[in-house]
Amino acid sequence: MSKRLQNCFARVRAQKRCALVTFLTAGDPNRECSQRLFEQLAESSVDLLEIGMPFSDPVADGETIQLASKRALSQGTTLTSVLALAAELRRKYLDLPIVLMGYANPVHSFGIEKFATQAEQSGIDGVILVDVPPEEDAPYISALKKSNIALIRLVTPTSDDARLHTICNTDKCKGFIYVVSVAGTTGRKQALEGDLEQLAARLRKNSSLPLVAGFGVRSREQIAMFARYFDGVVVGSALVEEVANSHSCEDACARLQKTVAELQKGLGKNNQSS
Amino acid sequence: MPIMNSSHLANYLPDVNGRFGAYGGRYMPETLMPLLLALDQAWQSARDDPSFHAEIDSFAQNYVGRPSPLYFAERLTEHLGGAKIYFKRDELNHTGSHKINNCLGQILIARRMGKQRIIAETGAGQHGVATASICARFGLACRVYMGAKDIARQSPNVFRMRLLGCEVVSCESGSASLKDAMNEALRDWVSNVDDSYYLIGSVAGPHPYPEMVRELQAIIGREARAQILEREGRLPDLLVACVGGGSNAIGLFHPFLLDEKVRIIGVEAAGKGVDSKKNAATMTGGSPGILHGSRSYVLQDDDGQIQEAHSISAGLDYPGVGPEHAYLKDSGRVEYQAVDDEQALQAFDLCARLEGIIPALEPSHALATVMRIAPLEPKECIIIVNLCGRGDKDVFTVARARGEDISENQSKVSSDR
Repeated sequence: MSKRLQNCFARVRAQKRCALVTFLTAGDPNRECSQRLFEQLAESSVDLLEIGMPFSDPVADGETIQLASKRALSQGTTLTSVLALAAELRRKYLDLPIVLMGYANPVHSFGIEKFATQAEQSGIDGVILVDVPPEEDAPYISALKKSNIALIRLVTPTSDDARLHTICNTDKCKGFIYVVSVAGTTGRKQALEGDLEQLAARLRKNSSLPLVAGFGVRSREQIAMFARYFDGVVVGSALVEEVANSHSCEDACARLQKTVAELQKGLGKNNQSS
Repeated sequence: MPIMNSSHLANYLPDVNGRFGAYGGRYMPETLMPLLLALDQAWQSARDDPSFHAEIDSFAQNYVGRPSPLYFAERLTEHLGGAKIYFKRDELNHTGSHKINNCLGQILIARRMGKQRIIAETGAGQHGVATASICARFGLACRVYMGAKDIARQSPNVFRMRLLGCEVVSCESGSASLKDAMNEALRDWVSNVDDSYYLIGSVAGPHPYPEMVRELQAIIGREARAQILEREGRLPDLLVACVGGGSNAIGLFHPFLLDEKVRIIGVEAAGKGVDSKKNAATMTGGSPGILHGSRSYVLQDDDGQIQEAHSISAGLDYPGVGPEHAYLKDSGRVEYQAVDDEQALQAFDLCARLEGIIPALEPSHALATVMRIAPLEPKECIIIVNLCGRGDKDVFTVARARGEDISENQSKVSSDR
């Protein structure tokens, strides 16, 4: 696993808290502002940046991220420009883990090997491809492995024990495990605590990797609940909405700063039944 | 039953992972993977179960109206002055197209899996109407996703679906046509995994859909094969069918794939021209990519973003194609050609006037290819073209293309929501 990912989870564990992972779509609302927004998140001390690679047909995403992808694509965002944005962030923030998230086709079209090489040059630590399940991920894993980049596998509430076992295979499952906390698209349904507890317990039996949960997480209170069971929590749609509702890039930065500060108050594992 | 022949892979593809050579697969979010595996099991057990086939046969005969006739198009044959042309008349099926063959089989599988709610996507509305009809027949809740653009141009089918008790949901995103309807249907499925069954209407999507839909549509080719052997005492020289996702084409072609002397042509929609940006000729103008769960040919830009398709025919207006077609193209077993909107409209007219059959705009593309090829072939040459849908749904589109105004009737239909 990349040193940056390892260090990140070791640090938050030492601080007895959960990592805050933030998602924004690259290129939304435009290239220049998008760069500033990611820098704002880094300056706000989020623990891990997740950069969305926009795709024309994002079937796992709810309306908020669909619209963000559309705005980004209409601004001419390409996989090359996403990698350039990541490289720029890497120059400024040497230790901050950066993970790309998106769909198979842009990577397939770019060329899997070429993508892995360029992602390494851009300082990427992990890649999440939501429509590439274990049945199809062999060529992606083998290319990314050569670049020392983890292909982050996903588990969902519908993954039964046999599947969890397959997904958590220690040779293939690297970096962390992305726990899709609800059966649904991004930004919509919210998970119930009992379900989260069960899913986390089943996962801990199968893997020693950090567990990072997302989908439908919007508030400090929810984060506090997730922090009891997981090592990291992803907030995406709620931040994308802040950007969409802002009237300028300064306003968007200010909104992100405020929202992140609020969310960070929920990360502690202290006084929680863990 | 198909005869195994090691010289051709077609009859034992896809493999257990749903691959047709380099195409197919299961590119789906993890949430759906357990369902796809369960569906594969349910499908494999159904296909080996004689009672499943007996139930299909009974409904096919008494509800759908199978077998569909193989009709000698004598006037069209005379007019073109060459090959002898037969129509496989799947437009005579209940609900007006071949789509019902697939819906019938999948509903029986959904029932075996205990699913109570059916979701589907539709382009021209033919799959939507077939799904809505079968759902009404079996008392299952039904929701159909349809692009806003298609709702506007296929209003008769939208109203038919509503009459059948189905909820039609308009999709405004992207190109507001079939691709976007499929995106929304998938989002619905991801969000309602426990009770819902996604009834995909074509040989597209993740495994096992391309295989399952092919097997359910292959009744077309099996009947046609028996019918032509009885009528002519030999196999045809040429098969022609239109290809959007490609289910009617696979249905006709598949039982003939091992008959190496039978030439096979799939016809894609060239829209306003293959060289224009406005077409749906995925295999003529596209390249391999991953869309809606499988690797196949797709229309995409240099950055792997899926392009909007265009065709006058809503049923062909899709930037992807079933993975088995991609395999058959690369292997050379099937030729794929493209026919533009104008050529399809000419074929539509000619068929209506010479044969008294108003075809759907989708098979009008196949007819256009027949019109081009038949005059070049000798009289002994036998062509079977799949007339996979009837044209009632297309009268408004055709009227618009001819500059005729029948819009008063149209607004009456579409305002009745």
